[in-house]
Amino acid sequence: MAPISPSGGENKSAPPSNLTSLSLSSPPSSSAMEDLPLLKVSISGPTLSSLINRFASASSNTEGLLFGKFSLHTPSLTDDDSPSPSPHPSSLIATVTGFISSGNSPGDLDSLLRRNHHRHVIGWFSGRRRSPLRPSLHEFAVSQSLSSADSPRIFLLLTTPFHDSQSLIHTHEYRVYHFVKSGNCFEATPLDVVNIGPAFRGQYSAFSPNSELPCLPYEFQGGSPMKEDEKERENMNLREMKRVAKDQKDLEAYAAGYELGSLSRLVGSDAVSYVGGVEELYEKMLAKLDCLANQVEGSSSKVLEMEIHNMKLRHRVAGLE
Amino acid sequence: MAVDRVPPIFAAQLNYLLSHSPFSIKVEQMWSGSKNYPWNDRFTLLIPFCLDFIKWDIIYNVESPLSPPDIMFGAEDDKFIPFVLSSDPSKSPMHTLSNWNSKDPSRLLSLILQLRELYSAYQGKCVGGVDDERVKFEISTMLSREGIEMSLSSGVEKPEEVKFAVPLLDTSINNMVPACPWRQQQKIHLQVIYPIGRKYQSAPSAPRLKLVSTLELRSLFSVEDIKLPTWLNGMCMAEYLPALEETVQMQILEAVSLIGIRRLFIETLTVVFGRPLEADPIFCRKATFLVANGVFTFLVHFLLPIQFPKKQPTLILQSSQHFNKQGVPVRSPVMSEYPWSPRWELSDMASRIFDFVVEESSNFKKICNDALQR
Repeated sequence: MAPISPSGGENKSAPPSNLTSLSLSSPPSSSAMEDLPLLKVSISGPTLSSLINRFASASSNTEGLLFGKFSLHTPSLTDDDSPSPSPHPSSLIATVTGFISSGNSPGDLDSLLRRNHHRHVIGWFSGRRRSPLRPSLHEFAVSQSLSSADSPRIFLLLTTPFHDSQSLIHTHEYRVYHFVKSGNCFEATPLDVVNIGPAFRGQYSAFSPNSELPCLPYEFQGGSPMKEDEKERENMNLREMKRVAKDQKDLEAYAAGYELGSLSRLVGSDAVSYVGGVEELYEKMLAKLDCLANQVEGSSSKVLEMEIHNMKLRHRVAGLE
Repeated sequence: MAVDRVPPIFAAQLNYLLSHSPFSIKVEQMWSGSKNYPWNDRFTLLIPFCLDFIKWDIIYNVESPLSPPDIMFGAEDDKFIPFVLSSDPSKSPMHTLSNWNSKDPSRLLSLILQLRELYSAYQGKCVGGVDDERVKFEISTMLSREGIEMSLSSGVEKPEEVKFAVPLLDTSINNMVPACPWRQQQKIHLQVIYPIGRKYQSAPSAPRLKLVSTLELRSLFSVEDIKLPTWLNGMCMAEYLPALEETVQMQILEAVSLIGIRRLFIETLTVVFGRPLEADPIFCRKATFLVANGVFTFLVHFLLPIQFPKKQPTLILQSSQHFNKQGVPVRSPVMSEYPWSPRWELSDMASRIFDFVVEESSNFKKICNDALQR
C-alpha cells in the first residue's frame, strides 16, 4: 500500500502516517491487535447521516451492527520533530463503512450478528431518544459480551436531548466509544467525519473497495491443493463452474440492452443517425429502473405491514389497547 | 405525577415498587421515549442511600413491552456498571434481567434492591481505597455494625469527603409507639463526614456530625432537640457512639411518654369543651372542638407541640357560619400567646384555655363580621 502524503487541506499537525489495511475476520495476530490503542474512528458523512436518519425515523430505540475495518496507523520515523512523540509504536484507526439496524425489534443483535457473520463487524450502535449521552447498563453488558467474541469493540451511541419537544428542529447527539477489554471500560474516542472535498483528499488513496458484486473477471481456479481426492476436486470444479455460469448470467441480465457492439455505434459518423437507438436504450433503462422501484415499493410496504402487525401484537400482550 | 400515562404493564411494576419498598423511593420525573406513542415509558427514581439520594433512570421501551428495562446510573458512577457485571452471577441483577418476567410486578423492586445492595458494596470499596489512616481505622472498627452505609463524594470544586451513615439504636422505634401507623421502619442516623486530603495538617480536624431522622418520625420528636456530645480530639466513632445512643434512647422514651400526657390533656379538655369533633388518636397532636357562644358557633383547633406541656398548644378559631368570597370558612390568626404555665395541673390548663376562648370569641366574631362586609 502506498504511503499517503498529507495534502494541502489536511490538518498540518497530524503526523504523516502509513495506513495498512487489516481485516479482523482473518486475524493472524488478533490478540496483538487487541492491545493496540484506538486513535480514532472515521466515518463518511453519508454513512453517518444515514445512520442518524435511521435513528430519527425509528419509532423508539434502535440497535444495530457497524461494518468496516481497522487500519494500522504507524507514525512515520522521519517525523523526528513531532512535538509529542506517541508512546505507542502504532495504533489503530477504525473506519465505519456501513451499518445494519435491527429495525423495530430491539434486542435482536444476536440474530443480526449470525446473519452477518461474513461481513467485517467492527462494533455496534444504539440509539435511544431523550436519555443521557453515556452508556447504560444494557449497553455495557452487550459491549462486554460482544468483545469476548473476536473483534467488535466500537460502540456508537445516539441520543436526542432530554428536552426535545419534537419541534421542527431535530437535534441528535452522538458519541463513539471504544470498549477496552483489558480494562473492562469504555473510552470515548474521537469521531472523524470524512466528507468529499479537497480537505479530505488524503483519505481517497486509503480507500479499498468493499463490494458485494461478484469479483470479475472470474479466473478459473482449481480446488484447494490440500484436496487430494481427484473426484472431489472435480466436484468442486463443477460447483465452481456452475457458480461462474450463474454469475455470468446475472451480469448479462444487468447489461441487457447495451451490448458492446451497439455501444460502438455511438461514436463516429454513425452517431447522428443513431439517436433513435440511444433513446430506445434510455427508455429500456428507465423501464428497468421503474420496475425495480416498484418492486422495492411493494416489498417495503409488505415489511411495514408486518411491522405494524407485530407492533399490534406486542401492544395487545402488554395490555396497551 | 402522570402515572395514568404509564403503560399498565410498567405501571404495575412501578406501583409495586413504590408501595412495597422497605425505604421510601420517589419518582422524580417521567417521560416518553417513543415517537409515535405518548406513553411514559421512562422515569427517574430517587433512591435513598447514605442519607442522600441516588438518581437512576429506568428506561423501558413501549415498543417492546415484554423486554426488561435498561438502567442509567449517575454520571459520576461510571465504574459502577463494571462492578455490577463482575458480581456473583447467581445473585447478580443481570440474572434478574436476563430472566425477566414482565407479568410479575415485583421484578422491578427486586432488581432495584439488588442493584442498591451492590451500589452499597461498590461505595464501600471506593471508601476502602481512600488513603487516609483515620478512615481506614473507622472502617475496621465500624464495618460490623449492621446497616452502616458509606460513600465517597468528590467533585471538581470541592475536596474529597467520606460520608458515613450510622444507624443508631438497634431497638425498633416503631414498636415503642402504641398503634404505630408507620409502614416503614423509622430510623435515626448519625451522619459523620470526614474531609480527606489535607495531609499537611498535623492534627486531623473533627468530622462534621449531624443527626438525621426519617421524615415521619417528626410527628413524634425532633432530632434538632438533641444536643450532640462534643467530639474530643483524637476520638473515633466507636468511642463516641455509646454516649450519644444513650441520649437518643432517653429522648425517644421521653417523647413516647409525652404522647400519654397529650392524650390525658385532650381528655381533660372534654370536661370543659365537650366531646371533640376530631382528635389525632396516635400522637395526640391535634384536636378540634365545637364551641357556641350564644348563637355564634365556631370550631377551636388545638395543635399540640411535641414539647407539650413545656410549650403551650397553639389555637386557631374557625367560624362555622362565616365564609369568605372563595367559600372558605373565616379563621382567626394562630394564637400562641395566652396565659400558660407548664407547672399547672392539666385541669387548670383546660379551664384557663376555656376562659381565654370565651374572652376571644367576641373579638373573633368581629373579625368574622368584618370579613363578611368586605
